[in-house]
Amino acid sequence: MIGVIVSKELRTLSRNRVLLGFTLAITALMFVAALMGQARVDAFDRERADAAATDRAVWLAQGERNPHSAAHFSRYAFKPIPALALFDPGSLDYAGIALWMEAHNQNPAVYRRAEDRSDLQLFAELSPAWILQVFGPLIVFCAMFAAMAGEREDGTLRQLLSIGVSPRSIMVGKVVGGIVALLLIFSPGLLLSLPLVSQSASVVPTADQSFRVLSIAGAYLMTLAIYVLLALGVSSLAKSRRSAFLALLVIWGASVIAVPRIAGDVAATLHPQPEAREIRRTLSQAAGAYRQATDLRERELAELLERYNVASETDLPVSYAAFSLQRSEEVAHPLFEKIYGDLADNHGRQDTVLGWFSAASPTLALARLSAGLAGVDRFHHEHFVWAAETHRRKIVKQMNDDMFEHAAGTDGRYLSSADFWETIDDFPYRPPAFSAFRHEYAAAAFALSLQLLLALGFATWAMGRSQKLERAG
Amino acid sequence: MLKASRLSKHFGATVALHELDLEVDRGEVLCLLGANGAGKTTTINLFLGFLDPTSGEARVDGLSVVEAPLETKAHLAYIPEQVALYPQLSGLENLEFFDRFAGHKHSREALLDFLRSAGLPAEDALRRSATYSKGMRQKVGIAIALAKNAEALLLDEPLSGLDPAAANSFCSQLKKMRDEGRAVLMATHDIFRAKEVGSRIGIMKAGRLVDLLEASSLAATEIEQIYLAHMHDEQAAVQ
Amino acid sequence: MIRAVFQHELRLLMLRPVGIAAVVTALLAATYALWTGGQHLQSGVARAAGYQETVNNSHARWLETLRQIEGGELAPSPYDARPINIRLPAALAPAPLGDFARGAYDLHPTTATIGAWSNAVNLFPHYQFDNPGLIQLGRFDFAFVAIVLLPLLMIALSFDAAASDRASGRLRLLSAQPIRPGRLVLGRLLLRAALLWVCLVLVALVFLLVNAAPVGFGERLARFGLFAVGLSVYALFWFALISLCVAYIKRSEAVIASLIAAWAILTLGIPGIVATTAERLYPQPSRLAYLSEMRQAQGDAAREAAQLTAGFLVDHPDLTVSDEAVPDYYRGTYLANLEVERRTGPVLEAFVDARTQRDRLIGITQYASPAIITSGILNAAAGADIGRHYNFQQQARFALRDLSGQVGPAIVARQRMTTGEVEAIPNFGFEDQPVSAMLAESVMPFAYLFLLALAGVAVAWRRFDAPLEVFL
Repeated sequence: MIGVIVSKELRTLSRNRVLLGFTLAITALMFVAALMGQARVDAFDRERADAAATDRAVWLAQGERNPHSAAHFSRYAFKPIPALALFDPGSLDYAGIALWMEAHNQNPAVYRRAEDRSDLQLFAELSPAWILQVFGPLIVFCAMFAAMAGEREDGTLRQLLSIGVSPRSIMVGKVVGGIVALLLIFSPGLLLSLPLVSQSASVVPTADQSFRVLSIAGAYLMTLAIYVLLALGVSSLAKSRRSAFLALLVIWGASVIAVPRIAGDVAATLHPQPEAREIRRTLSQAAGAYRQATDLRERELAELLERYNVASETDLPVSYAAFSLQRSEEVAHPLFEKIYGDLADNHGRQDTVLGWFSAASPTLALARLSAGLAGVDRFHHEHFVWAAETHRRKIVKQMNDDMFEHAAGTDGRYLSSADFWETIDDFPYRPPAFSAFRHEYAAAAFALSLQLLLALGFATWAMGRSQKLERAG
Repeated sequence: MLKASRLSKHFGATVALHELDLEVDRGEVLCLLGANGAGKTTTINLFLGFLDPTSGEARVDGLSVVEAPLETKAHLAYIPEQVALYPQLSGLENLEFFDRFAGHKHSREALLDFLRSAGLPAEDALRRSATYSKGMRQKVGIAIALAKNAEALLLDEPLSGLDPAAANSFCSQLKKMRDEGRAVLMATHDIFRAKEVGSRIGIMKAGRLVDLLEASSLAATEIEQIYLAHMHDEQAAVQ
Repeated sequence: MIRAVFQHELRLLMLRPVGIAAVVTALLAATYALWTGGQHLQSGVARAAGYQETVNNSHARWLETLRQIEGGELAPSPYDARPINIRLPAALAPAPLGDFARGAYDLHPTTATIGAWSNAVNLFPHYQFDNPGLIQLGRFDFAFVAIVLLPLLMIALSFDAAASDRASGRLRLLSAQPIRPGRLVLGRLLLRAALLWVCLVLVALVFLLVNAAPVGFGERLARFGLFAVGLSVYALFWFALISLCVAYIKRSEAVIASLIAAWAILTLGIPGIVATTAERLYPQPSRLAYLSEMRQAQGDAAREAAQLTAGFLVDHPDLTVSDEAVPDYYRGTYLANLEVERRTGPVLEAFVDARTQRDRLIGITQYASPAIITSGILNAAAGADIGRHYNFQQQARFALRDLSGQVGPAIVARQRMTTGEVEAIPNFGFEDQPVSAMLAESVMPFAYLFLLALAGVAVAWRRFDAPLEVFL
């Protein structure tokens, strides 16, 4: 019985010329988007590799130099680009890609690619994920709006019910038919573009690539199902095709176009971003905290003198300048953690607001989940930022230690040998596995699951109601 | 009042109406009988200017429908099978709206009077028309014709789907309007009502007017016999 | 009769849920966008002023020290009142109509400290502290309401202007009256479009006054004029397109499907394709390569400080190096920055070239999408276009180059400048593109869109006036 309905749905949809046109357009657009995405990922990865190589070369070519002077010059950490970014670039272009691991300062990552974009890209960006997120629901609605409203308008629903087809079979048939049809619409584009992900071999593969790919597929499928059920429910309640379509388009405009932007705006209004100048001020205060803490410095100097059993700073067998440089780093560490921690907390609060709005927009929930799974969201960015900070602390300490050992009595004129720079490690970044912060996405995944259940409930209720009315005549 | 001369309408190869000659005078009701697709509605549409004739001419009060579309409509009222109203508005408000288009500006009381004489009491006239039965909407249609003071009425199967009481009331309204001197052209399937209100009865078949009967000279059963005979001819011809 | 019909149509519209919903949505969206826009304008102006004040204050203290040294009141340390420590503020406040569109204000640097410690690459202090996901979502500004939401609301309100009357049979009843029903439908469409347009313009006018900054109201008004004309021509275009669809397509779901498809293509599809194509055809030089260039220049300069100094002195034969005790890294940093400027100059030019070519491509392809034309005009009028940010960055770099030229000799010669010389250094003032220039740039696209809309209305008008046989 259900099979009959499914095949009837598919036959009806396959005769819908507008829908076929859409399919072709979407397939072509997704494939082009994926190709361009791949080109970008490859180009950006080459840029990163070149920059890292130059950074290393410049570093090693310093010759004899004071280690602290070198620590000011220091090195850069470059963020790798995950292969899945060709499918969904998420907020990759809105986060910095190079981080200066300078002595004294914990800097933010700089060079956000979005700064080089035209005004137009703030409107629309052509990635396969964006196409699916924005046009997916629209195509679902175009394909499904008449599912029940049309049957009712044409009187075929009464006929179906009169020959004893159960309401449940009608619903299951329509849902399955709808999802199968939409998978057929989207899969050519996906099948053409997915191999590109694995083809981007030069790119650092994330350890759990397959898990991420499968989860992305699952998330999109779930969202598709939500919109199919929503379409079916609305179509059941609507008096005519016209009102069903209008209602669905209002839902599309709201959940896909308006809500995400409003959500972002409200989040930024409720939890405003602190002024950059203020953040820079607190950062530089933190960097200079040890210099300001006279008591602490005196006490530590006394301890140092006592440890080496000498009377004055100049008698020390080690460099006091290097000691205090390292101490000032260590004193600053918790302060930096607090500053960036507060900033991350504020971003977390902003994301919570987005989370609340996700309740009204499966697309917003999907977008956040998809970016997370593709490894291109804030959490992945912060992982990189903290990895770079850890490395910064390590290499700055290496250089301070070198001075501490060797610079005593040189009156600040100590120079490390040209081969010392070889001992400073390169930034060894490995992008995190998704499981590392799975919990951050629990809410979005939960929201999506809940929406699926609600949509299922809504569709069941709406179809039951409409069929009751239909039987009553 | 209404005059068709050699009026024809073709849709591609299909002949919907073939050289119709017809005249309806003031104070006269001409009922057109015929199967679906016989050309009854096409005739009405041609008088309304909804369709352009392929050849021939339709005239209203001496004016050509094609040459003076707006002037001829000032004389006409049209009541279709389904009188469609704005469901958000009351019967009175709907009437007021159409009244303005006719170029009149009747007072509220006058409009209520028209509705009352069409058979719709004031308490119904003030309700939203979404709640109206088909018969009530027909009454608003009659009131529109009354308010317009139309000299000719074009009725396209106004009786189908009405319950007997409503149909009866509609027919008395129609007779009243005929007696006031209006010309009425009504397409219908109902031979008995046609006999009741019609002055003459035209039988149409395949786009032609095949017979024109004086209603008063024949009984309803006789008219039915003649009608069926014409239809039988057709079946015989087909066979 | 026209007035009566107008009143009737208005009442009819306001009795339908979709009518009320569309009007309320337009009012609420515009109000919210302009209210938060007002906050953005205010805080942006305050931030820029605060930044200028802080940097100016510290410069005033620096200058005071110099005066005291010149007056013999202070025995200077090697660090005091050195020309490398001259710092002047450059800040980009939102434009006078900045509450109407925000564009990418959150994405670009809005302050710079002009001083010889910096070079073109690191001129803008770190500003990249934002939540990336949030900037990606963009802001709900009035330009978004006008470009994206207005056509959607117009479509929702108007798509069934003829089809519902046609499907219900009312259109036949109307056509039996001595009127031309097509003109009634066109009038109805005009009324519905005008209703939304009036909602937006009214709210905009209110906030034009409410959000007004204390200075620059004249320019605000001029910019608003451009903005309002852009918005109106855009609305006219959509009115024309909706009229065409309503005139030619009979079933209401087909009307709305065509309109939504047109909207998606014109507003999302074409801009996306154009932007991606432009990025692909005219890629920006790599920022990382730019950074590497700077790093190499700095690294080389650190090793070759002596040669660089000698080179500089050859170029400035009148300089005599004083024997004052000045930290070596003052001169070293300055010379390294000069080296960075020299080597990264071509990269910066390549950035400008790529951008110019890209903008040229967009300038041509904009005619394929009214949304591109309109967003260009609205953003420029509100000062939310990326071009304004690039202008700021370029002007700040020029200011740095000028200042660097003025203070350089003294830095290398280990001398102090005189108060007079320092006071002669001009303050940075951002030069906005004048409204007349924006107008000149937008005349062609404006005229094109306007004529396109008129042609559309004319074709729709002919169709609406067609014989009833065609129209019904």
